[in-house]
Amino acid sequence: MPSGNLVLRRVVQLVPTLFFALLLLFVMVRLLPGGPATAALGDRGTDADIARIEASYGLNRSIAEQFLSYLWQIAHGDLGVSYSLKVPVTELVLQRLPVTLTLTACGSVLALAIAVPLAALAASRRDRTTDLILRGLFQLGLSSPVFYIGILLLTLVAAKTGLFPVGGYGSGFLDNLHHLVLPSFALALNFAAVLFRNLRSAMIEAMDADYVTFAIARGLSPRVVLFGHVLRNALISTVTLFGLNVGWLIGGAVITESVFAIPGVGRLMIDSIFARDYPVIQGLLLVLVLTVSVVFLLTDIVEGLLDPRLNR
Amino acid sequence: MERERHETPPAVLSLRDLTVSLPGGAGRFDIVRGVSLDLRRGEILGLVGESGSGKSLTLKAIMRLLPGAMQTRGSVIWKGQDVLAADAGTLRRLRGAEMSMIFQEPMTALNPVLSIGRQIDESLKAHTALDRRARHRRAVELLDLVGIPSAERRLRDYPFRFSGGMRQRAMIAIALACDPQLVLADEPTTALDVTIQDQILQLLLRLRDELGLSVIFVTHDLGVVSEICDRTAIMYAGEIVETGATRTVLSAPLHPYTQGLLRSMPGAASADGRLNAIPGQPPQPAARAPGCAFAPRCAMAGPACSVTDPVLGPVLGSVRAGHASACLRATDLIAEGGQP
Repeated sequence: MPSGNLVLRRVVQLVPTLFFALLLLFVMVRLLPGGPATAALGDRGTDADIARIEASYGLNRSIAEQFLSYLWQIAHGDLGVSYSLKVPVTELVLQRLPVTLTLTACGSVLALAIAVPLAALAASRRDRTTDLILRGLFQLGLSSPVFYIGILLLTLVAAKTGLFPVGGYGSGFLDNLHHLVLPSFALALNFAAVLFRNLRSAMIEAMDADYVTFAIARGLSPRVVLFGHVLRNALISTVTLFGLNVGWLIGGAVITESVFAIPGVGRLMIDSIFARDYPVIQGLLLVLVLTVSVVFLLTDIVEGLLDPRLNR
Repeated sequence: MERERHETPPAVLSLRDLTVSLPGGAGRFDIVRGVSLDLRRGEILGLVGESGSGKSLTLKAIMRLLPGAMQTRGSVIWKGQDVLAADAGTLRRLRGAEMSMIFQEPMTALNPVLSIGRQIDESLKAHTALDRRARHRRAVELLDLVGIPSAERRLRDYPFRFSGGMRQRAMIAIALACDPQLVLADEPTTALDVTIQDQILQLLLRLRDELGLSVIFVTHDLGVVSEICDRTAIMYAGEIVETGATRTVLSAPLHPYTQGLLRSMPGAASADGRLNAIPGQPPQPAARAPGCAFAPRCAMAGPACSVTDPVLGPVLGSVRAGHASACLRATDLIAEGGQP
């Protein structure tokens, strides 16, 4: 069993991770050409205006000084105030992030729901027609970009049948989910293809393992052999892959949001980058890094539950 | 001869003309060729041969554990029922409950992510109607039976927590969970060091006596054979070339291959201290010449040997009942005293 020790160790490890992530994105944001003042004023801004506005944001100080004061702020739970929207970043994050995370979660669950049973089916029909068809379909899914699947779903499903909204997020939990069906599907297909390929080959490898022959030789039912031994062992590598790809999935969610006009962090992020709205960019990225780290921790715990050898 | 038949109990397992073939190049070729064997209740039969001789395949074919590409012909009669003709449900009831297999490498044959207790439990669940507590009691009893100390606690442990010898004991416990009468042991001691190997052999002998097991013991180690096997069958290139009581086969072999095996044992080194290896390589199943498969490597081979494929049968002039050899020149071997 994974112990509280593991969780504690990982939480402690999180501090340096967050520090370096913060340092990196703090510097990178400032490496973008132009600044918030230039972005806001455009060609009309005089040097004096720009200098005045930048001074009001504290951008005239050295980058080290800025970073230290930002750290101080963060330590007090304050993400700053948006330059362009004039609202606290915390408020923006709390408003937009849940939407993106819900979409990501729906996409992951859907991807697993598609990949796991179909991989089990393909692996047990190895090299037969079912397997070949499934592999072909997922190869197609793997080579289609998220935005392309999104646009296809919009034009072929949403616009033609009217069963699902063509965009937006709606209001109320059920309405939100209804709005997320097609976007989740667009997001999941690609990911499902990655998981399918990995799980299928891991299951085939497990089927050739001695412990599966032993399980069959003990007269266990095909169901117990498939789920209790083959899938049980193959899932370990899939969970690892799942965890590693969650960051990538959030990236996909950001793209999906812009295709389906969902008010998540995606749109906000792009707008903030154009406006050089440093506090918003930093705040969003920081929260995303935190989210990915938490997912990594959860994956580690699940891996520990699935594979006792990891806890020795 | 008549008295002999009364004394020997009837066979519980009979293989008749068991042949395993694999698709290849121009058609199918046989990797196990017409194996016929009888195993009696409480008997340990050694199946001996070098790697690739088909001994493990024979074992797997008995329980129908071979991959789909391999075709099995002939018959495997277990208590009057042909296993090769059994449907999936019958097969599942036979496997584990009546016949069980022990593998060479417990590290890979035990599921690494399930505790030993869990692996015993799922076997019991599949074949008995015992409730959870009864299954737990049975699991403790099994670990005690195979000599794993503090059984209650060890049930919760995963395979990687066991030493090599203990792991092999755990695998035997799992295989014996549902009281099978037939145990097919595929080199169960090869991966162990010598002292542990001896402990496992003693354990198998004790279990045979206590539970009345019938065992087919596959090995390439004639030392192990002499220690535990009542009867021995020697395999070469997919065929049984000699069978008989272990003592007879090892002391008065009637096949040049058996003689070669005995001469190549480290204890039987020649005067100059060199090991006597059998020259040459076994034939590839796809490229078998007519005649005796061993002829190209045999010092005694005559012209007839590369024409006629000898059949396993009693040797004219042999005084030992049940001793059979597949060699055209077996009678000449008796004349030479049958000594290696």
